[in-house]
Amino acid sequence: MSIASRRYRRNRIAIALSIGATAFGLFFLGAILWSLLSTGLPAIRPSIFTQMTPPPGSNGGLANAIFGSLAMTVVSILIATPVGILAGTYLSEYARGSKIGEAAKFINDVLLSAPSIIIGLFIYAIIVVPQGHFSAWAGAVALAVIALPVINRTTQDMLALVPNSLREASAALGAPRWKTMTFVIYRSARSGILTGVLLAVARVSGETAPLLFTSLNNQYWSTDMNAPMANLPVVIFQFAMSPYDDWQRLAWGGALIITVAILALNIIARSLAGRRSS
Amino acid sequence: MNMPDTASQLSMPAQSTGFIRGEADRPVKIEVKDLRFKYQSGGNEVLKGVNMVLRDKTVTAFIGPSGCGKSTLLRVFNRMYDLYPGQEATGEVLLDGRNILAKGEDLNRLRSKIGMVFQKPTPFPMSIYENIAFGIRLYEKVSKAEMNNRVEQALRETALWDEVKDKLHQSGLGLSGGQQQRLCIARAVAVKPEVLLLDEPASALDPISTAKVEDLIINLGKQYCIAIVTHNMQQAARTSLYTAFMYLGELIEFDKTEKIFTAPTQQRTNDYVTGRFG
Repeated sequence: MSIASRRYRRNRIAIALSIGATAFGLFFLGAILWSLLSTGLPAIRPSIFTQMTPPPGSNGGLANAIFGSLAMTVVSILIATPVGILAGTYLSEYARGSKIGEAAKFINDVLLSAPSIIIGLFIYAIIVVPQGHFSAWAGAVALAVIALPVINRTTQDMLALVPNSLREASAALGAPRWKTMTFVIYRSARSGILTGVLLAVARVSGETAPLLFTSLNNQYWSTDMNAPMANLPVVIFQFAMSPYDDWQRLAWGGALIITVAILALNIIARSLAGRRSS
Repeated sequence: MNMPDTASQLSMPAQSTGFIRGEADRPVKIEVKDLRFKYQSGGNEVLKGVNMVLRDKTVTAFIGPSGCGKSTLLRVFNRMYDLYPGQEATGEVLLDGRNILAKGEDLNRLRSKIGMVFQKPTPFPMSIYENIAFGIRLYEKVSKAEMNNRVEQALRETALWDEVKDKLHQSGLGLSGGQQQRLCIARAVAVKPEVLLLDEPASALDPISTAKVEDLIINLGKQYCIAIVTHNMQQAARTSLYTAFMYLGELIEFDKTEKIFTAPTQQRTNDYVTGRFG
């Protein structure tokens, strides 16, 4: 066999294997989405957005849980975004090559992959126990701790993508470093950093474990951040594990709502990231 | 490469009358005394005791093979190397008699007086107007009307005005490469610098854009002290009054451009300008 035909054959085998691996992965994603849609869609009725989580055997919705998830996610992102962006800026721009910078980057990466239940326990120990009760604040802080390393890391990566020639060009005009950062570098990396924030939102909005230890749950409508608050992941967890059909239906509906919301966020993040490169 | 045998046969562009001939020598703007430079302390010297002068309202070209230190020398004139820890220059660079290598030199102020344009165009991610206004705003407080004038003036000086006057508020990134480079030159002249450093400003451009940039350099040379690094010997011949030939960190020969290209005193200079090496 000639070298060329041997290479063609190897090429075909490699491509077939790659396509097979892709199909294998996509199959499960498709299966999950299918069962989610087919079972969850019937549960999506207007009442799911307007009524509270019901006791077993009666009608209800997920309004309090949807509000709780939104509230805690928003607060957590408000905490994590400024800290994450500033930390990422320091690590990428000012601590480049320094020992403490490299150590901090490494620790941040460890935090990035830390099991979220450990973060939940940590917040339980430092906020819930001293306070004596579960609260939405504690939940928001736990989510913020999860979002922080994501935002930090993407900020670092996006700043590293800004070509050095831009920093030099700004400095060559006599711009002090902070002006170069705020007016040139941030502007250049803006959509990338924003993408990181959106990905962090997507990441925390599905977290269950840290909320079990912090905000717990609430059967009623509550806007008090200092009290336990319902939220979608924990409600789904509780309702899906229950023996009641109506609770299980609501759990499917909630799962679908979260999935669609995260999907939408990811699509927005992707289109932002795409705009950057064009 | 197919090059003429003797330096005097170097082809000049048709419209050119030959070399640029200054009348009387202009006063000295920058004086370099025994300048030595290292990229790392303890490392090799990249500049090994350079002595020369740059005259006001005069274009001085730096030629030499890659790695000869000509770009490094340029980056000493505005202390761009200071952005990178560990790089060190010794000796003296006197700007109007004042040593800019001295400790305590205000680098931002210095760089606002010594503009620089890089090999690759580096427009900031903002509108054409803002690209130019950014530099002006750094050290001057000007009214809106005055700013409009300054922006227009800078764009006219760089022959860009007619091409961009209807899209001043569109992104500078949308311009062609040649226009971007002229925008960068406009940005550099808009702050009314005393010296302009051009680091291979046309090497990433097509021939037509290159011709425009060269015309621009010749014109700007009547107002500013300009130092241009180039790999294109015709470009050096066309634009400069003085030429410095560098090799392995040393200034081999420094004289009127006409002399360097037609009657160099050093064998290495002759070999280089006739294309025998480099």
